[in-house]
Amino acid sequence: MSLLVALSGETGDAGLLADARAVAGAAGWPLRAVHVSDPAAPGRPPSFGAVDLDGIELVKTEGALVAEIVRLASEGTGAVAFGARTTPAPGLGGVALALLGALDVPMLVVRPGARPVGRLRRLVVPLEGSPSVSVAMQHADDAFCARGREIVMLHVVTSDSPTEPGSLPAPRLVDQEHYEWASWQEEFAMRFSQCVEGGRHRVCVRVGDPAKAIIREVRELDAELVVVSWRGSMAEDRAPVVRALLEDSPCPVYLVPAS
Amino acid sequence: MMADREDTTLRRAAASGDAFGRDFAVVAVDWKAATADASGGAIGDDLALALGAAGLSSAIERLTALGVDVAVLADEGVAVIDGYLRARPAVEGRLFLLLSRGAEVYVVGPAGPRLLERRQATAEEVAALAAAAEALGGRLAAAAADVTAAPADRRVVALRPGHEAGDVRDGRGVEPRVFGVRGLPGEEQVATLARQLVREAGLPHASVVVWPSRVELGLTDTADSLRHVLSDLVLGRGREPEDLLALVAGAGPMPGRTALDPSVVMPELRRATVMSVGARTDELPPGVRPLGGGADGLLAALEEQIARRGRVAMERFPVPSSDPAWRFVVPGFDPFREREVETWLTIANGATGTRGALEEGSAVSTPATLVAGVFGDGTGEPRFRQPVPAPDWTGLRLKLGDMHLTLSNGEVLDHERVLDMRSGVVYRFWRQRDRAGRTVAVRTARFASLDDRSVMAIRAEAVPEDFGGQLVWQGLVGVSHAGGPTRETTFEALGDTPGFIALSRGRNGGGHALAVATRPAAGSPVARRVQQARDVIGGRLEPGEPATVDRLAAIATARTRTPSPDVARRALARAQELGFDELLARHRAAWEERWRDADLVVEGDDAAQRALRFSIFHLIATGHPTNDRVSIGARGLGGMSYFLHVFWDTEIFLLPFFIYSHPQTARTLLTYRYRNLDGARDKARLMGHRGALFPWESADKGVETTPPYGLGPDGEMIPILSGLMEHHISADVAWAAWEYWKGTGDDGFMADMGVELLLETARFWVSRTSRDADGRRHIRTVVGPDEYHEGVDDNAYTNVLARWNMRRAIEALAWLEGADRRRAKALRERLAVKDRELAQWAQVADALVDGYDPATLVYEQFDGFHEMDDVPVEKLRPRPMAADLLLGREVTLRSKVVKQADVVMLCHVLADEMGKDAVRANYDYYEPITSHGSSLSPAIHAAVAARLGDMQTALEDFAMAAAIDLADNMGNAARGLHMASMGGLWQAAVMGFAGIRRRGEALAVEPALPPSWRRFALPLWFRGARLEIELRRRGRGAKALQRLGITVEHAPARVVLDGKERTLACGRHAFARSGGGPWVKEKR
Repeated sequence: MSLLVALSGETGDAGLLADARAVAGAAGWPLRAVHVSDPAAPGRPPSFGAVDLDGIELVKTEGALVAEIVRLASEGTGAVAFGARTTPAPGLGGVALALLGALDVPMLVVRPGARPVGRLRRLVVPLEGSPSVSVAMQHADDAFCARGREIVMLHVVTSDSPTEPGSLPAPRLVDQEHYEWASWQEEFAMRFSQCVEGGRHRVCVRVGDPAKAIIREVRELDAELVVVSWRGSMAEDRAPVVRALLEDSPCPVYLVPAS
Repeated sequence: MMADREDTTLRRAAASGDAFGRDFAVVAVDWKAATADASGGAIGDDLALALGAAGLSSAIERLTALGVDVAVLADEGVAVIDGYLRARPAVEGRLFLLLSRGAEVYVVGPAGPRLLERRQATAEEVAALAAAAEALGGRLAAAAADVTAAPADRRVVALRPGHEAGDVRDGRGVEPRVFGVRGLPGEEQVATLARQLVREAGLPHASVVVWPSRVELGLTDTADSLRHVLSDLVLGRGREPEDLLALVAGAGPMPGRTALDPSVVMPELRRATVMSVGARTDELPPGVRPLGGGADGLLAALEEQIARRGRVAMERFPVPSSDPAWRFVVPGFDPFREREVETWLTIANGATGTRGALEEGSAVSTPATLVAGVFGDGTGEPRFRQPVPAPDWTGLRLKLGDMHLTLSNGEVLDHERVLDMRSGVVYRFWRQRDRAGRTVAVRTARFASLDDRSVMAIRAEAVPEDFGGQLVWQGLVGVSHAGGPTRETTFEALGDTPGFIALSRGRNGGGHALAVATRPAAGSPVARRVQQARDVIGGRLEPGEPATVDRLAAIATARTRTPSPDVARRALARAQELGFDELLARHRAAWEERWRDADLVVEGDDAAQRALRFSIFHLIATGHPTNDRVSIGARGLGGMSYFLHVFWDTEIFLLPFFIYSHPQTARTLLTYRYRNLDGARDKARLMGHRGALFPWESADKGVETTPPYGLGPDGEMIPILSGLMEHHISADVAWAAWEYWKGTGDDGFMADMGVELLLETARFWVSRTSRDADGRRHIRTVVGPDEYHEGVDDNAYTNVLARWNMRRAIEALAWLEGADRRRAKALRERLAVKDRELAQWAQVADALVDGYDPATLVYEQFDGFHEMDDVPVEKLRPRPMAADLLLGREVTLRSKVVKQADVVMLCHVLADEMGKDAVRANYDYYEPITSHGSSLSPAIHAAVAARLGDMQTALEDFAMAAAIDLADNMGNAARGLHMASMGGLWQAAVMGFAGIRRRGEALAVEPALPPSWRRFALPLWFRGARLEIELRRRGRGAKALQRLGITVEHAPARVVLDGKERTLACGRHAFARSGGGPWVKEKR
């Protein structure tokens, strides 16, 4: 794995690169930076003066921005980091949306104003309790599980239950609380994580609107990263939790394609 | 040579497997037989000899891999014999070379021959032999003028016609007979003379062998080799002479020749089977059977032995029922669900429960063996009693060469596990292509014996499909993945038999000794690898050959100490003596017997049939019929959740099944409570009451084992009030004792235990009530079955059952006074029960409020329930739901949302005393506000709904109950089965749909079968009678025709139909009704 950070040559690059550096460092990945100039859309010349590129190769290339990053990502890059500039109106910026729609690799999305990752000590992995979306947990374990780091497996109870075989939502039957919750937590942790890298896994249960519950939890825990799986569509009526996280998460969001 | 073999009689017989008709454990091969052609002569051609030796080598390797000991006897030395043979068995200890006329013994292993013994002649012995030979030659030469007699090699006296030099044998190695002709003495006389001469030479034990034309003198001979085989491989390994097959050479067809090496004709071989591959049949000594065929005949005989074992191994591997209604099938492998699967496939027998984990293990496997009744102090906070798990005995790893076969090694071609519910055996079928491209088919069968509850067993078989090579089973004993309060587990060797003893001890508690050993299955082409670990068995297999092992385990338990390992050793020895097949046969028979009295047959609803069989299977498997020191934990013996603690689940949900299917187990479960009566008395006393208050959770000591607090979903501390306030369990126990008595007519139990249980629990209730200003009695600050509302006053379920308890106690004592006045008097004296106290009980019972409103017929669940907030439960989430989680604890506490059947439970438990109108009113009131947030709820609702004719709701609740353990997307079963729900399913089917309920001392039958149930059949025991009840339905709606068949055995049975009681004599009785009309007795 490696992390390719897409720099825009604008003011947000410094924060993006710092977060990418922190995430790549935590995962032990090499980091590359790329800037794509689109001849068809000339603008201000890029500026990397405020960006600390120490030790990082910056590839400058020309072409259609999204297509070029997709091309580079397909050349063996493990993940791509980019900024998600929010628009004055609700919603993500066009470039971010386009990248989200085009890339099929993990993405580190940094919203301007999000808390810097700094040192990755705690990450939150929202899990609805179904096998197919637990890929985020597997990815989090593979990339970030390490001694001294806490991974919060956050399960938000909603009015819906996953129907996929192998799902393990919060217990719908609680005969005796003192046994049931301990058993469920143990099984939940084991079912969705078999990591032995020494990270501390903690199962956390919340009730209510998933996006609000996750954001509230991330804020209260001072988590540095949210790792979440998504099914790859940002269509209007899809992925409300991912969309909300990208817009409002207090920390960067690491998206793992569920496929 | 090979073509000839196809024509031999033996070959044909070998193909059909009946040349000898049986297996031999030891085969002795005379090298001369291996080098003889079909006519009995010696094979002279080196190439043919080499080819023959190669065939023999292959056969020997396969035979030894099958567990057969093979001895090759030869006159020649190791360089010659091993030079030709080069057999390399996978293990050392199966092939022996007895060479140099019995002077040397070699054992052969993978690295080649290793010398074990050598009889080395001293110089004096050599000289003495030479002198004796010279003397013998002189005496024989003197007897016949035309014979030359001379020591050929200083110890063989060869006699030749005429005076020509050289070998006298013909081209095929057949030598002419000279003794008894040409004036020479006969063979017996020559032998006597020779023995005399060697004695005179100072060698009284020297060997003398007389051949047709020579005499061999030596310190040893072939007979010594055979004696070695007999002493070491036959008798020394616990076998009988009948287990030995000796394949020897014969002479050629020419008349006048001795047909056999004379030294093999020894008395010790009389009981063995000795066969000659020589062509001659006329001069064989008694006891030697002709086989013929030379080396080919020998090979055919060996192949026949191999074929027999392969066939036996294949035939003996058990197979599950082919009836889909008895098969609980888990196809494939889903790591997310594996812990659920392990629980489903638990094999238990009331004493132990072993999760159905993969034998070889995986990253997601949690193998564990739980033991009923063995507890220790937990280490976490709060501390309470936890079961001490036994070490895992199921570990079996398969090695292909150096590689372990696992599901993650290569490609899974097929994987399926089948619980054969009929016989209580879990089967596994697995085909894997490993990374090297080798395909192996594995199957296993395991069970926990219902016949001998200390025994567990696995048979495992691996077949290389497309390769030949080394396959090795490694038996492992490890720590159960169950946590628990194990203080230490130690492992030691089993003893003389290869295997392990594992000793576990709990903190401040009991322990167990587990003895386990793996053996090659009878007839399997594998052998123990003595030079490696003690439980390693394998062999070099050809494609299609099965490597089969039997792993047997026996456990001894003790409640307060570690039992002696010798007890486990002896139990294992007994099991080994019986062997896997016999153990399985007895186990199957035990299951057959239990199913005969327990099976529910549903035609028309496969899902219901599956759920019921699955439930009944685990109910039978978890209950112990004789050990009254154990009961049934809430999650059975398949998982550590709930720590095998015993709740009211046992009495209210499980006991009815046992009362009506296996009364002995029901009595044992009640005896567990009676044994723990002192603990219940202590609890009542400590809480300031009298009588007996049973603990909400109990383990081994009968004292309260409920922890005072637990941890919630976020790790927050939650006070657990059940142990302090959930007192209805005392009435539940009393109810169960009464139900058992009425259902079985077991007056002995009632006199010995039941009356005392009722009196002491009634006494508790009286002391537990408080009196208000109006003189009414209350039971305040309790938790009812609906645990969402804690610390409530006058819970209807609690109060009504408490009142029932007081009244039945008075009734029971009156019965005892009538039945056995002396015992009643003694009991009253022992418990200090005075008439005045009994009168008080009656008054308290009459004064106890129950929240019943005669206007609405509805019981108020507890004081103030009607005034609480309404909650639209149906809008929260589909049921079942943990409403307290969704609403929050505070909201739940003040809301009209019910966790589980509470008043509805009362309607079910006291169905005999509650009118249908009242049941209807209460069901209608409480059903919509019940979240079914407990596994104890939906089955009871199904039973009540069925009684009321709400068939759609009943079926939905029944399905909800069935899904608790079996749903695809809830994961409930991962840490144990929901035993109460299983018992509830049985009650829903029998008491709900079939409408069979006890009414007094009769059985009322008011069926309301779901439309899809075409036929429902069940056996029942009731008051000494065995009944087979069969319900059939034809058509639907108001005009449906229903048939009821009741077959009565052992004793007449009282049955209530349409409210009218009838006594049915033994025999079959048939009734029918149309629509909702009355039952009409059918004429046969």
